[in-house]
Amino acid sequence: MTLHISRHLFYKVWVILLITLAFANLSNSRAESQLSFDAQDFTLENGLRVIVVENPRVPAVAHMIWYGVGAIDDPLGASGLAHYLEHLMFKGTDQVPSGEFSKRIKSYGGSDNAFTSYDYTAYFQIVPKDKILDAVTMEADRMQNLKLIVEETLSENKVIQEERLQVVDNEPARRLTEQMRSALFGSDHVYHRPVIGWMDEIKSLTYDQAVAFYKSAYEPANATVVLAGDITVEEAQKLVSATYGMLENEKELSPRQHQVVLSDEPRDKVVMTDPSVRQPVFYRQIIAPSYKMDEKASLSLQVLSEWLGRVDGPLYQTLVSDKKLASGIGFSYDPNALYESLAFLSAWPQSGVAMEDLENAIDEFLNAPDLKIDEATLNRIKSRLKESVIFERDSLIGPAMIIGHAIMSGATLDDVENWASKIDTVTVDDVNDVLANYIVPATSNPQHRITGYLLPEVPEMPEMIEGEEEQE
Amino acid sequence: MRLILSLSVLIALMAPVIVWAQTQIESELPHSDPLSHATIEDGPSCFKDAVLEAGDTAPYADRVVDAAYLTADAEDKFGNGFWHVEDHSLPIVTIAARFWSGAVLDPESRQGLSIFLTSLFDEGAGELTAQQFQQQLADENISMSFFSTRDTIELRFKTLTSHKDKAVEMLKSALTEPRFDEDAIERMRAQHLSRLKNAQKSPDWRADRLMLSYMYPDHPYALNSGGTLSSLAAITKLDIEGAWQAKIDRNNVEVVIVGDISADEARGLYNEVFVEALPDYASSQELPLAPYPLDTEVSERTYIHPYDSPQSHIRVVWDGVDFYNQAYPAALVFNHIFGGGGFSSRLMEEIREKRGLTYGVSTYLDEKSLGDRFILSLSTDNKNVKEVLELIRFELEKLAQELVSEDELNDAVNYLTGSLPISMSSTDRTASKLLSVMGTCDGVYYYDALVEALKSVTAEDVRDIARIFLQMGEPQTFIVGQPEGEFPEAVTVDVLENIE
Repeated sequence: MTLHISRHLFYKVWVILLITLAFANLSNSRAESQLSFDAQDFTLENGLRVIVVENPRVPAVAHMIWYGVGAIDDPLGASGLAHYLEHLMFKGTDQVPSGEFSKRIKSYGGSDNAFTSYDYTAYFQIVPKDKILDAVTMEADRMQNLKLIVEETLSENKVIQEERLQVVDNEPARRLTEQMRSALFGSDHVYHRPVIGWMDEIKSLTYDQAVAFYKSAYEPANATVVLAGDITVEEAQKLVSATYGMLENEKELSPRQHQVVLSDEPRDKVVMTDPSVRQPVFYRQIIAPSYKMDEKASLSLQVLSEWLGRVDGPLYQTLVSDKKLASGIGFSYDPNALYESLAFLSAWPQSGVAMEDLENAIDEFLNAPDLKIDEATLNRIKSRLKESVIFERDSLIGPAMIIGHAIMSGATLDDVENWASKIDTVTVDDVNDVLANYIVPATSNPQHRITGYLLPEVPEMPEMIEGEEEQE
Repeated sequence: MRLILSLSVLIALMAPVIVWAQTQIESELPHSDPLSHATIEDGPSCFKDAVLEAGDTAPYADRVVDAAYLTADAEDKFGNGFWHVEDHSLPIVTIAARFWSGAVLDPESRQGLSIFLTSLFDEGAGELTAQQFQQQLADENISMSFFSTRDTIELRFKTLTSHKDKAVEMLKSALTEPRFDEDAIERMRAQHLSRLKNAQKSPDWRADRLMLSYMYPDHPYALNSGGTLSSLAAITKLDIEGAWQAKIDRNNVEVVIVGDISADEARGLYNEVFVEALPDYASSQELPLAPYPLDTEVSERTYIHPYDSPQSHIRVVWDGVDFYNQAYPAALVFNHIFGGGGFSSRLMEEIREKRGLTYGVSTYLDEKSLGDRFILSLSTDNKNVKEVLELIRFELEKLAQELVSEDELNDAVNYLTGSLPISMSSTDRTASKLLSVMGTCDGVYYYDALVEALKSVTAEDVRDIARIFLQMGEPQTFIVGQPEGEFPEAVTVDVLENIE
């Protein structure tokens, strides 16, 4: 549906950007010795870090602030608190009344938004160059001067309940992947809870909890600012000194502590049936090291996913083109996380193909001893990746997003800037090792993966019923 | 077509990791439609009086974007032309193009033919099989995508300057010698069927399907541009070849070229790919207009599709304001203030901010060549539906009665004008935004003229637009869910049309 696509395109583009254009999928296309973004960085006396990417193409600047606090910092029984606070950050200060923040940005011709992840929370605005001082002034103001009133926290809680209904509860695929993730990480790992929170816990979030959370984490020393666009480093220095530079840390930040124990219980398959489902979907989530946990493995997994996951790659060619068991299949890996990260495999079974048969064929494909990357293929893939970075510069906020995600997930600015030369060090053995160690079912840890089936309430095909019976 | 799976599946997988404060809705500026140009009888259709031709001196000193109108032959001022923006800041060349031959031309028994066709352009061409073609695209970092709208078939193309020659060769090959191999056709058929089945679990998709069926009664627009289960199964290789020949024609194409390419090089590229290589059928097809069903009885203005969901997904539809209408800039301002401006809109303020009844509400002017609409969408808990619909009506009445303040008007105008340059901060967005207004008589100066026109919109103009919408009577209202309360005059639609 044309209409459907156009209205949601922006959302999709951003989500894809966050996934695939994360710093890891960047590379340097100009020359290997050159840096990805030529970003400059400095730190204010109060500990706030500033990164600047100059891009004078249009007279506008993107401004992002990333706080080192996210859903993993939600207290026990209060899942969704970091995200709740992110919404409440628009509820005003003495200087900027509730709801005014976005209105003012809009009145400049700009746009703004915010998002919460497991590891961090970020706010951003894109404004004409001559309004950047106003935007940064308002952002600096709400870091410490938020004035919440109880009534507004109550009505915003209802907004988040509606958000959860709309985005998760109404969408069977989202409900399934949420349950899979929860089961995969297990209750002793902070990554098992959804960022948006469980519905009953969202309902229980209070004004006091939100205020305490705010005071515990929103400090200059806990933030990284990225400015990208028509602004020089000198201008940026003046700008942030006059705004963020005036802030003092009101208290010392306590170190973040998280329970990150993976359970060694076997992972059962999660099967979700829903009457609205007509196209069954196969999902697999696989725990894999993030860039922060294991740089070499992460770089190798990035090369692996570029090879394995694309439509000209072996997974699609085997399961879709040759065996015709799936109408579509995808594989991806996200390097950005403070703790374990995930690789994803998903597929649509062809009409008439039982889910069990598809799963067996996928496992057979992955377990095959001859599934190995060769030197020539590796070189093609690496050259694709290294050259692709130039496209990331063809955007105002894109570089700020990429840098922010990477930094907040534990990478350094040098890691981002030198990504292409790092990718170049990946060898055939490296790729084949991560394939065997993390992805191939026969040789990887069975506790580190989980499979999910999304099925119609009444299976359409007789074969499927058989498959399900065998499964049980 | 790989995007179909990767987009939807990746979103499903990854979305829980990132949760946004606000709904992600882009307030797009309108799409133009040359087809409707001929249908307008009353009122001038330019913001500026003069029709600008190639080579005319720029009438605006400070332009939104430095676009130029060029013809294939530098000497030929009035021949077929394209738009060009020269920008050497990055070694990237981007093309956006559209053929005025979209899904509206697909026969009812072959719904989805256009989208089926567009999915096959990168599935093998010339000597290259699908896999070889896609591998070359990937190895050379060439991005080439085709998609279909109701009105158009669209192309987006992006390459590094260093791979431009190869990239242009592949684009030409895709357009002029697609293979349509049987196995590629079957692979795409399976993907389209999966896509259609997969979409059905989304209540938002259902709300759009319900709306389209009844907001364009007895018109090809009501059909499913994504195809039906039976039409997708019925499409043959012969259908696809016929559609390719009928739709990809030099006479119905519009082209924008942006980036690291000089005017002369761009001329050569345009001439090579979009003039000399393409057939010249000069075919045209008369299509009926799709007027808003104003004369429908009041009792048939609400449609409910019962669906087991905690929320109701709502669309409210009024007649549109034509892109070529002199009142169009005022309608943009009205839309921004009423529901299009995100958190600056009155509906967002009243429904989300004050009452917490929704995660997001938005309105937009939906431009189509044969029938424009003004559309509102939101979802809310089933128990809130009556209250939300009441609030929408109340806010519209208020705008029709009371003038907006100077500040509110200025904020809206400043947003609409100030956001234009920001929206052109990448080569592909610049190309798409320019493409969307090709065919207007303001030509490459469209956005400059729009800025001028927006600045002259008054509070009275905005009120008049609200009055026009109000005078249409009850808008069409579409609800997917289990709305609480009485809807005595609503039509219940148990089975959505054009899915099977």
